[in-house]
Amino acid sequence: MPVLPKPLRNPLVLVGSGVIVALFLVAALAPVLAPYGPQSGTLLDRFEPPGPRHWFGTDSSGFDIFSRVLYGARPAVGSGLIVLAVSTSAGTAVGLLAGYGRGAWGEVLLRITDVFLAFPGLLLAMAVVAAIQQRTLWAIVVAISLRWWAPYARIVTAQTLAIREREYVEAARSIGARHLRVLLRHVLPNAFSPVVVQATLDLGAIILTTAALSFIGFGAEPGTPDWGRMVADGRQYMRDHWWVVLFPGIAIFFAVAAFNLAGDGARDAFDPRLRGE
Amino acid sequence: MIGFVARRLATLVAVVFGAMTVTFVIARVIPQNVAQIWAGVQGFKVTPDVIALVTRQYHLNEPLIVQYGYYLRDLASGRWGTSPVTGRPVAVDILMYLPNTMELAAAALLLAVAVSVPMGVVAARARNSWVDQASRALALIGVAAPTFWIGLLLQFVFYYWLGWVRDPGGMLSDSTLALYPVRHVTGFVVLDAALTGNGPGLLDAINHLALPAISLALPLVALLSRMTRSSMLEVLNQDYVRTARAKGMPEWRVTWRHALRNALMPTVTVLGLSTGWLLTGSVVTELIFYWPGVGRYAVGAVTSFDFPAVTAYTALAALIFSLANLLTDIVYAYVDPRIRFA
Repeated sequence: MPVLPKPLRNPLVLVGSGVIVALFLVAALAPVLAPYGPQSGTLLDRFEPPGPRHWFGTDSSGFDIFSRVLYGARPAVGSGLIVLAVSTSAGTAVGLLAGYGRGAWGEVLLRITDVFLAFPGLLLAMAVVAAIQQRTLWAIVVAISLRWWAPYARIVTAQTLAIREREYVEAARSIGARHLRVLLRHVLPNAFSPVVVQATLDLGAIILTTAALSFIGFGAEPGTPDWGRMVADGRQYMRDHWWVVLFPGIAIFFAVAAFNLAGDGARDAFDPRLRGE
Repeated sequence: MIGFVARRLATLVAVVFGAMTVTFVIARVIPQNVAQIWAGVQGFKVTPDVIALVTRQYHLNEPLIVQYGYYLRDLASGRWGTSPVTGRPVAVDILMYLPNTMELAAAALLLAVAVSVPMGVVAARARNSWVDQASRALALIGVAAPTFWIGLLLQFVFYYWLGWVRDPGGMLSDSTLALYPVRHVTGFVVLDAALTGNGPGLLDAINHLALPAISLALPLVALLSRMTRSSMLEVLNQDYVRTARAKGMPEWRVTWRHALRNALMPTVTVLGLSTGWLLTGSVVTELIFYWPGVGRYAVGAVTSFDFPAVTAYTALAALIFSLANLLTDIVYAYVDPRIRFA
């Protein structure tokens, strides 16, 4: 029997990682995997209950919900990854500067980070959505990123403060390495692993936040195959057609749960102190 | 201790001031054609005259720094600006909805603590028992299932299907409002009904409060029960627990008195996090259950481009969140002297 890498030997982590792989595959291959198009169907087919023809039933427009749930993986994974890319790079840059450059500038950067941490994420995002007056997925991505970099900045600052005092940093400086080189080649690689762990855990939280904003009506336009939007669109028909609301929600649940389980596994792998329990 | 609190309070003032500046930038610098939108919102025909009037009324053509001054003056005066939609001071509107949100949040918090602490203790005492497994499953659902979806499922099961709940939303039924009106005492409906001895009103209020409170509590149950479990596990291995057992103390007393009291300390840190969640989660919950709270008000404000209202609510949320975090730190420093002097 092949030996799995240690974190994957925990069955929950294994399941979580499996679901993540499946999620990325579905997002990439949705047009191949989906039996119907995301918006193909007529009003004659509306509200068909789940059955062999439509596994998850059809919605108020007669569209196949199973296909739409598969297509819905795209905006979920896509917006999640973009938010993560923006906020981890911005947060890491701020954190490196705040932690490495002592004195007034570091202090100012830290205070700015604190200010953004003072907002509950969803509420700041709502204010931004109001200000840019657009109801699209891009608006949501911008709105969420504006708050989401701050925790990464906090983490990287703490790491950098500790790493700055290490001998290898002193050694690099004493042989004449410039600050930028020290930051990028010596500090960054050593400060980055908690960011990876946090990012894995956060992807689930970002998907939840995007879904909530879409549900409220600030994200994907009505009718688009987006999980949060599908629940919102189906809400008024829930009484007689429960499947319209049930399946997109299950999709969100599985995606978020998978990132949480895998994130826990990543944390255990990177942080040996937690390995006991 | 006083020095610690003073230091933290100074930081808090700076941070909240910064947060208000950020909300100003978001609400005043990014938006386009604000005067035109607000003129339309007020129901006038949008003519250049009306736009000029609105522009003058809200100082929109002044330099940004002057507008910022007006903004700070409005916040300091306690009116928080005038809503272009309702025409009232934003503070008046928010104060009207705030008690309803506080009632919902308090109910959710109480429910979460009442469920999660015993569950965490039992799960720690009997590891891998069915209670432990169930709490693990519940924690995953609480963390990963979207609140709006849980809320809708609860509505489907308890309103449409079982019929245990009288309305899919709102705070009181129409029949209660007509036959047993709840007299205003504190502004919290459940409390007012209880204080005035209004039995039918109280039952109806609780009936309406149950589902939104459960939806809002679920993520907190997840957080608190796992936290209680892990700190209980740690405490149960301590020497003083062994000593208590050795001197023949009954096991329930060891668990619920000696161990739990010490295990609950780390749970205090979750207070700040919980407040953040209650602020965020109440938006979606209130929307689903037609709960007339500030979260629902804020969504309406975003939809109608009521920037003074959006700004005020966001700033208020930042203030509440920061205060909760400060309180957490103070409680923690009080409990653990090492933090005070760090």
